[in-house]
Amino acid sequence: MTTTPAVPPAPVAVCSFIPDYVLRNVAERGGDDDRRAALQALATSGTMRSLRVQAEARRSVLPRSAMPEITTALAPPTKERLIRDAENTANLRGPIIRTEAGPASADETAEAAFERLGATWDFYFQVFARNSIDKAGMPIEGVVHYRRGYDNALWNGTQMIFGDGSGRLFTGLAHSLTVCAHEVSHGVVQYDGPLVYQGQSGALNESMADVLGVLVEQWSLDQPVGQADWLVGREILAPGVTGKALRSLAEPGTAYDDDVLGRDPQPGHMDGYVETDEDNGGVHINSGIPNRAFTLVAQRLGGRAWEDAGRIWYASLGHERLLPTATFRQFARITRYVASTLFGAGSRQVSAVEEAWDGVGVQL
Amino acid sequence: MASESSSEHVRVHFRRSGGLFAGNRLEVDVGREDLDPAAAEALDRVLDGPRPEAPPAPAGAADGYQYDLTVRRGEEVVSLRLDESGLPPELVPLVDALEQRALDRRG
Ligand SMILES: [Zn+2]
Repeated sequence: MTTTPAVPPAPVAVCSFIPDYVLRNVAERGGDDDRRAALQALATSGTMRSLRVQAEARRSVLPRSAMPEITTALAPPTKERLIRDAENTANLRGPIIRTEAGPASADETAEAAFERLGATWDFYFQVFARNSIDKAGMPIEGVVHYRRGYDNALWNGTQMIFGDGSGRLFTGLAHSLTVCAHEVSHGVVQYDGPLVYQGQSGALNESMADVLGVLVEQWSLDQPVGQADWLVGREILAPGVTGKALRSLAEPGTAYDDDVLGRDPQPGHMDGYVETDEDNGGVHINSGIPNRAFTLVAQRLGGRAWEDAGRIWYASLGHERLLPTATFRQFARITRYVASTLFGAGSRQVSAVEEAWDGVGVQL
Repeated sequence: MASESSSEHVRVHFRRSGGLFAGNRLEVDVGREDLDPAAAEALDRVLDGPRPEAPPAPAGAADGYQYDLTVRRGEEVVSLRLDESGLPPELVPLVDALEQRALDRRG
């Protein structure tokens, strides 16, 4: 009988400052009420206390997002959503047609937004123990039927706003989970970064919203990296548009090639960096570079992208060293620092981060 | 038509970029005579005042359109950069009209 070589024990989860495994177990036991009850019990349990002690011990090296998340998890948060109807005008204070406690709306766009904003809230709570956009339980406010034939969605600093689409370019934007989650994530960036919406810091802002947006979808499908398509807005391209989505994180520049829209202008490498005065300095164009860097890390590490790669990116966004005017290089250095803090200096996670930035031409 | 006889010819170049989607770009060049009265009046305000205040977009706002307007009257050139989330109400009729014109051209 042969013996298999001894496999060194898997490292203890030294990076467990975010109690996602705790929260996930709770979440799997049932609905919101169960989760809240379980959280209340956990809050006084040894598990949670020990997490808190660990967090205290590592405070000096932890990203600033770590402590509030633990604290937040102790007080069970409540998901709070509301949807307004702009009634095809630019009115952002239109009637409220759906609330958390109220009945389902007859308006299917309102229901689509409500559901997807809810899935996004769940992701932030269960994966990062984050209590809403501001970490303090801010209601998630969506506006649907904004303007007429409006081919866009946006975050205005307080609300997620969705057009119905023109039917020529897009169909209803609230029907895409990656789009809804992208807009919520701009709110998260506003509270955690912030990242100035211009040039490279603006492209990082866009990239964070794309990365977190696709992670929401992958998490809600429990999708491993190998099955992910890394597309934003797959559901909303109008019939007749030649393309597969708004953006491809894994293959920037390949999302569409259409007679009216032209070709996807996103670069996936610094060699293709676009200097322009449009689009706040190309924030939706050059975001392709950090987007692709993230996918390279995730693909290298395998498993679920929101676990290691997502944690590194999210903690980097909340890191005290991140400047509002951060360049790609500055952000890249923070991701490496965070990876080594979470996983150890010689870890495969650090190697994956270094190789990914090298792969997109960003010098560390 | 009245404007052509009473003053120098006024044209406005409109460019829309940004939004959630980089491919959703618009551009059009329009003479004052081709604008509806409310839009033409807004254009006059850009040239002769009182110039509308263009507040910056709210901090943290994202994915709104960026509007670049270049207005020409003879040698005079006025350029404005506006964010959708911080659009002065006085300019809404002008931006709406130009945006619609550009969309019609796109087909
Ligand atoms: Zn965005």
